[in-house]
Amino acid sequence: MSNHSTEAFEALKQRLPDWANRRPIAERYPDMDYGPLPVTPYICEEFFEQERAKIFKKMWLYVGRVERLPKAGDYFTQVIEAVRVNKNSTSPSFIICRDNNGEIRAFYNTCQHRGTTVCWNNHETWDTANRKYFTCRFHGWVYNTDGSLRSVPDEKLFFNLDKTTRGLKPVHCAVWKDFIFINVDPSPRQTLLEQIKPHAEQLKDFPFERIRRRGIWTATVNVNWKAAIDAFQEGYHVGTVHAATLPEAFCGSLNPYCRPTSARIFPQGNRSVTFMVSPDFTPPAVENWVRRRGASWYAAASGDSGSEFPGVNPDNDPFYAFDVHGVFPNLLVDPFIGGFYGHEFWPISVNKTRWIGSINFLAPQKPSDLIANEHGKTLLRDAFREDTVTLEATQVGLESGAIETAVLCDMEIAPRHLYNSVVALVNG
Amino acid sequence: MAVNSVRQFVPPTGPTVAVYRLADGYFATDDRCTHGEAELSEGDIEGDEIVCPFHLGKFAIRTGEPTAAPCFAALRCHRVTLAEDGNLYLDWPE
Ligand code: FES
Ligand code: FES
Ligand SMILES: [Fe+2]
Repeated sequence: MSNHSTEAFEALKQRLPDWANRRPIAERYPDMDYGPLPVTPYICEEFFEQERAKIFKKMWLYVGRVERLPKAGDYFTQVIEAVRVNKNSTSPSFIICRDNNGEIRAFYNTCQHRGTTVCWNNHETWDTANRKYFTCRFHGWVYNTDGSLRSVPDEKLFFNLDKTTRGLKPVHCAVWKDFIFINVDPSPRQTLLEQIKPHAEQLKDFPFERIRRRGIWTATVNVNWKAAIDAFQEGYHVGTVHAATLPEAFCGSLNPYCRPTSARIFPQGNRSVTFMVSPDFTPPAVENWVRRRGASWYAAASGDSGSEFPGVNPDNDPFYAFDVHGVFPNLLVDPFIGGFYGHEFWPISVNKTRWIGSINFLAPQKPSDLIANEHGKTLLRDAFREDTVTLEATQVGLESGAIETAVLCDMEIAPRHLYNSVVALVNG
Repeated sequence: MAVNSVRQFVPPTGPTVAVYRLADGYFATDDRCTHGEAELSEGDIEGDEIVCPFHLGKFAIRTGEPTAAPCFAALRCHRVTLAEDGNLYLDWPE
């Protein structure tokens, strides 16, 4: 696309929003309050406790992909600080597993004898472990992979022990297109599909089931979870923060500030934003080599090549690159032509968050796909690192007492919408 | 049976039996672990020991002797022979 004078290029250009004279997102969503945002929700402990109670303990939370659990007895554990019982409680751990009948299940990782944690795996390694039975190390109570209590050593010495009432405590668990979610609310207000409906509809044919994780990284950062998400869901920072990796890919003469080409606001905190590739971008030699052999880390800059990846580019924007789907509350799924990036944001306290970022590509068909995937993985890893770099500096400033409100522009619609949605739920 | 594998055998009477194949032949013990309710035929073979799937106790397959806690009582052993017809036969008391 280096020849800017072709008819096709001119036609695509005509379809870009009129950024010179308009604020297109505010025109599309005129009812939103575009005023300054008080910083309290980013820094207030009481507000954070409300978020835990009204959002994280009530909603479906994404915990991992089915590809981590290929066989019966496969499991991983996950500590979820945001659903701890009280402010100062130790955080609970969960087992997410595939039982012997092939069903995906989730339980509290808590022995029903005297409470000991059953599986002691480090949950940040992304290892899949396998067990025929979940056996508690303390006194050896044995649970089946479906959570039922199988065997109690020296059972006769107990008093009226009814083993059927002492299985691992289940939590609600549901799967959408290989994404596993759990919900610790004993009676969830909604089904998973009701909660994620706009994304499920838009991406219903996207080939998530054929996409495999190629890289995953985590960082525990001193920042509020919403401020962490925000750094990954707007383009305003691209030219500055990503100066070392990929600014020319997204910022160029047509769009120097990396504005989104479109954005969609959905009920219940859900949203999606579309970004464009800069047609000025001349990929470096290695990038070109990779593009000829497999999927790169974003779509080629042709307008409408999403047929193999239905659901991308919902407004059929020109120069399409990728979409950022804000799956409320704490997940970003960024589909592109070739795969998707994922970002999880796990609140630990009001100013501490665990971020998990991943890059996922269509399962490789030929050896050169592996090389192309590896190239994309490396470049994205560096860009993700850039995205995390500002987070702690942001939190320090938000807590400094020197700023009362944040002011957001038209293109920062996603941070604004997340903020508004959380505030509405906490105050509602 | 593959070398280094175990499988369950249900005799017409009495408790189930775990039949093992090691590199040098066939062996059999009671299937039920002496520590608890596990079936050793669900366990894994490590060298010439069977590892219980419940608490990772171990027994020597050839002798039935317990070799790792929490197993302290020996397993009953049974004799198996590979006949010329290719079938395995188990000596059974009843
Ligand atoms: S606490 Fe698990 S067996 Fe006792
Ligand atoms: S049941 Fe076999 S070691 Fe406990
Ligand atoms: Fe970024």
